[in-house]
Amino acid sequence: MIAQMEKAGYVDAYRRFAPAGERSFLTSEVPIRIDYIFSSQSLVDGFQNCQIWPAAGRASDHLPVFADLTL
Amino acid sequence: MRIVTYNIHGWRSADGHPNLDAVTDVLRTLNADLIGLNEVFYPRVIQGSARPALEALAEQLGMHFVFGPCLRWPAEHNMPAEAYGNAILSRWPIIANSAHHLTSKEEDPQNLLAKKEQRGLLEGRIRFEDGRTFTVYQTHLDHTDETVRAIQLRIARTWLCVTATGPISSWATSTLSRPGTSPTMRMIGRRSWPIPLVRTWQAMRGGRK
Repeated sequence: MIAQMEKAGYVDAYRRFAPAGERSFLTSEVPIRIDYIFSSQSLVDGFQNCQIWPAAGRASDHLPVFADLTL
Repeated sequence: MRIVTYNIHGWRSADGHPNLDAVTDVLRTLNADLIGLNEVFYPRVIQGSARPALEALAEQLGMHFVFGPCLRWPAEHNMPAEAYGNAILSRWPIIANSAHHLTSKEEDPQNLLAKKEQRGLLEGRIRFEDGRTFTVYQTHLDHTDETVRAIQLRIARTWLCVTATGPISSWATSTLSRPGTSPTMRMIGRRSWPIPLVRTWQAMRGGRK
């Protein structure tokens, strides 16, 4: 799926800043990141960071993912 | 500009408790400018507010919002109509929006999607103070089957292609999969207008202070 998005020209913002292996879905047995922010190529250079936010705790069964972008 | 995507688990915490207050706290702390939400029931009222949770959340954050239903239930048996789907909240006015069901005869000749929960793509166009616009998409793809996700993504991309060309900046926020149990749904809105394919609900609120 990720490859399909990248082939279409979108960029997984998180992967520009963080390694694989983080968890965005809390109740899976293995760490898995299933929440994404994809960007058009034209915006990629404007990203300052992209992170999963574990401080959200168990407010949901997912953790929020955020990115800071300068246009 | 801070962008957030957050699957709020149908207004339930990971432990199954009403989570409006917790979600509000999380998003307030993140101080986001644009938020995409998955698994939103609207206009469900949950513990912590006397009004629909999505409206309460938007008001607490001082943001505009739009809701895009993937599933809807008509009012029946003395139960109000409801819907379930995606939402976008924005610090800036959302000047246009549409919600697309991820269904297509052309992309799904074997009709695989018919066996799955209907999913959708919500599109919102934001206008900044300087007049520039920005297009954002929120989607939530099937959690059970990679083949189905691929079909849904191809369908979603047909909408991205149509709307994301030209000078408009765009990005897509997605929950691509979600292993585990499937949610159910709900909804209705304060202000609405019909848009091709699916109706969306929009409430315009004052800008964030």
